Amino acid sequence: MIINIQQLTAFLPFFIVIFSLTTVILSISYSRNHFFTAVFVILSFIAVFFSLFFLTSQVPLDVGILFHIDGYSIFYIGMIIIASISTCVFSYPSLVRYPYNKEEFYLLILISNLGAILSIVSNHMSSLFINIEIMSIPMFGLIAYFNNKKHSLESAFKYVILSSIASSFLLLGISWVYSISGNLSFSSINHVLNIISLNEKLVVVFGIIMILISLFFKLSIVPFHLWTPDVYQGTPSVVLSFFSTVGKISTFGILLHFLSHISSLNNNILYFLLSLITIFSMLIGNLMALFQNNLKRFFGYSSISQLGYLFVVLLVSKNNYLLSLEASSIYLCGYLFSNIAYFGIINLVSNFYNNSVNSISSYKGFFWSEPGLSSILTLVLLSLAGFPMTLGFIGKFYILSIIIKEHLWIVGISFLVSTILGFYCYLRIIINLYLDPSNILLGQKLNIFKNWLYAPSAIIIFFSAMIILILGVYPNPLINFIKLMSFL
Amino acid sequence: MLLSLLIIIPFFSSFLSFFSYKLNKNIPRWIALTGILFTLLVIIQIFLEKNYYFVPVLHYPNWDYQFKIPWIPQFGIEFNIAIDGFSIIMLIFSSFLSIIAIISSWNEIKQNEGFFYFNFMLVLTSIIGVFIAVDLFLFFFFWEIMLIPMYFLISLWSNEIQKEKRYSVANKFFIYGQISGLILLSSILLLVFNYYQDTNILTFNYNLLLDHSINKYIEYVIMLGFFLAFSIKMPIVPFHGWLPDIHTKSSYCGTVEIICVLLKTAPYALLRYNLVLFPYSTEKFAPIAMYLGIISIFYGAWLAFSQTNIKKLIAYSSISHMGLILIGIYSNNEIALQGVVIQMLSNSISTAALCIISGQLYKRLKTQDVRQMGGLWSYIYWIPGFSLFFALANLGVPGTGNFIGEFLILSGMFQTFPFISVFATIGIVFSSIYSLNFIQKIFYGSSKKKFPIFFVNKQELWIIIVLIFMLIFLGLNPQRIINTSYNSIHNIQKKFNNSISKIRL
Repeated sequence: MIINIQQLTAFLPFFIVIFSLTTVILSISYSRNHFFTAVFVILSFIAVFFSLFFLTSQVPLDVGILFHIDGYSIFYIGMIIIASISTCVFSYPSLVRYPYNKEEFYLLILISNLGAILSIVSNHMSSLFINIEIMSIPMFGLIAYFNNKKHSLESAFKYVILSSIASSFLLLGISWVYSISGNLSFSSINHVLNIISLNEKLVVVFGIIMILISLFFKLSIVPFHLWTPDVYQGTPSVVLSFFSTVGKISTFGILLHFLSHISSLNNNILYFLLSLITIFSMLIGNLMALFQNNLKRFFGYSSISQLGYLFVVLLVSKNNYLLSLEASSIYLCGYLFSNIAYFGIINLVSNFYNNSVNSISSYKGFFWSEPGLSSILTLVLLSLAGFPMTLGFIGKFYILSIIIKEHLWIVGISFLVSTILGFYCYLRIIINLYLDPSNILLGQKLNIFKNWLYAPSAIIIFFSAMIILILGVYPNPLINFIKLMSFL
Repeated sequence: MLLSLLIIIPFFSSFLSFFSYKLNKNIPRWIALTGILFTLLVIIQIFLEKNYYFVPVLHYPNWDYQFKIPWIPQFGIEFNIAIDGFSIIMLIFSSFLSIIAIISSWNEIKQNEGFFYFNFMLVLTSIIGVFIAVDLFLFFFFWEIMLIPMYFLISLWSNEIQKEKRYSVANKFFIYGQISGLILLSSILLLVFNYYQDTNILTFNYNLLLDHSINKYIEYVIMLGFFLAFSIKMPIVPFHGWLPDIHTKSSYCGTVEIICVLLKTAPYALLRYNLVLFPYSTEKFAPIAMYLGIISIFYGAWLAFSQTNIKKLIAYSSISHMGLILIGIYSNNEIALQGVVIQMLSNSISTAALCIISGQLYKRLKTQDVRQMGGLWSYIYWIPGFSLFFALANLGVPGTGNFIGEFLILSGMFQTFPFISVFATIGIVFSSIYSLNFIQKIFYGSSKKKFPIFFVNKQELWIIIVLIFMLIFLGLNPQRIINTSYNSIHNIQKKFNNSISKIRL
């Protein structure tokens, strides 16, 4: 296999990540310096982000048989890098207080990030499997990183076991598909599906369903969602902003990519199952979120329904691939920035009090002590609920227009019902922020911004809130950008 | 450019009043007041520039002013606002009533004034937006935006002591509003994609969608969606659950805004969208809408009769009047439509006045329960007389605008639907019964308790006197309103009629 210079340039972002990975390892083994490591990692992520620019002139491009880079994967990689940068920025103040080893945190984030961005561009079963593992194994460490906290080890264990089960499903599915196709690349599946007999097709479909199940596990879609709230509850909010964005965005990217390669599979049962999954994740996620009192558990459930909305895109991706790509990109963009701001705020407040402040009632009257942050929190919650003037609404608008354009009436009705349920959930938190502050904990004046340690986090939170607001009112730049990416 | 000021001024004054709270507690309300006054000035300027004479212009979307910039070109969405005679009347009245709501809240809002006026001005912005939007997406946008500030107005400044109760009430309002909004959005999208399928143009422009004929079954579905969305906001009987609760729980400054301005957006939207966009199915649907209207009239009147809470009584009476307005809208008669406009305005004035009066009673007596009042005439100056006047106006005594409105609706309807007109007239009898019963129970008879004698302060007095003058002006000189809105109402009715006959041929 010959790799030319063009393909090497296309791999520049990945090389930068690997380079900074080795540097961090060496610097840790030579002498530990938390500040240096943090700044270096953040700077290298920024460099990766800008090196994506070099890719735009060269895509679409196949690198060997393992990877395929196109405009959309660049967009997804960009989102993942933004999430990683914000995670590093948020984690610095919490790690300063952490009494044990600090620098390995960044190492884990770098590795996991590498897996995520590689798995988005992978075009081959083997690279897909390896990269998914690279992405999810450091997550175990990240979830259990602050292991002096409550529930930390429990949730790590839960995630370890379930994630490894999901991986084994993935491996099983790949082997079933391989047994018929004799080839591990994605494009061979489509080719094979056209020529095989009915019995063999059954085997391939079984393998595909296994692969899908494992991806659904990672996305915590309804029948496979039971682990989500527990894991969310125990995970520190810094890690959560990484876990719920990077993990889900990259897995969804893989799913979209994978499903686009089996477009010749006209299987009604698969379609029916997919729509059932969509409907139930929308409904159950919001229904369960109604009863939660912990902000993290709440977000776990609500992320189930958020991804349920997004799954509507998959139902139509066969007929209308471009529009569905556009819709999913916009929706994920809104999801990303609301995630960053939401967990950033929770993290900021928890850090400030030196213990985790997670229950909804402890944010009572937050507006009167900290108007800026709680306005941003309101904006984020409204964006998650899909209220006009926010980026979340534009995503919802896209999805509703897809539903109506493709006449998916049952999905449409459950979409409406679950949106209303979701509004009820988010309102409960929003109104909590504006009550009379009777709670001593957050009732006092915080003055978070007096501390320079928190300034970068506050800037990132503010920045993502502005993006939600401005792109919500005037989404043209984002839509144009995504269109541009799709033509590459 | 003048039109965009109508959105810009209240929007920025809301933010200004929020941030100026830090400087002084009194500044926010002055900013809000000047914001509305400037808006009113702009509206009057537009009003004077165009002479609204009695000259019929022959085609329907005949905007006097239009302002259009692209917003989301991928979906054919434009920031497209326009104004004609009908909307200008609604604008004048809503800004006028908002001034009154602000003045009546002048000394009432004692906490977080900045945030209160912030929300208040946002509600006003979105209401103005609803009245002037001619892009369906923009219309939906404003229709939704008003929910959040209204939600805060209800939940944070309510006069309910029990906190849990008032949040559940505010949630109820929000959920109802959200259901209405989502149904509206889906039907708008259905309409737009239908247009797209036929012409391959993706647009939300009202003027373009107007001249498009749809498959009649799909048209019926879309019409039903629009009707549901508007009738939840209006509210018509099966969907009225939120109004009485909101009314009792929120402070009266918020109530004035809800009942007088917010509720008038729905009949406006019915006239503007349902009648002309879906003439065929509206004609098919008219009997059902009329039955719903009749049910609302009687249901509202009967329940109003049995209420012991003043504010609930007012709420039910306004539901009953909304039924009359609904019947007028669907009567397919021009005179009735003129009556609907007059009735919308005068009804909102009289209910606003009753709300303010009940708020003043509540301030003094600390109760809304009619059973604990009685014989108040000898304790209070001015208020009993005023409330007698407004109660009479509410039941449609000649000389007030309500009379003109009811008369025009009923007499116009008599030509097309005589039986329904007769039925609706019977409803008015009930409304006189509950109004007089309410006056009798509160102000006459022997008093249940010893109350201290109290006076009304000047400001409250002037508010009510202004409202009385407005009502009498509407009653004595309705022709000015009719003239101004003549063109658009006439053309709406004609367009509706023409399309029906076209389809029938």
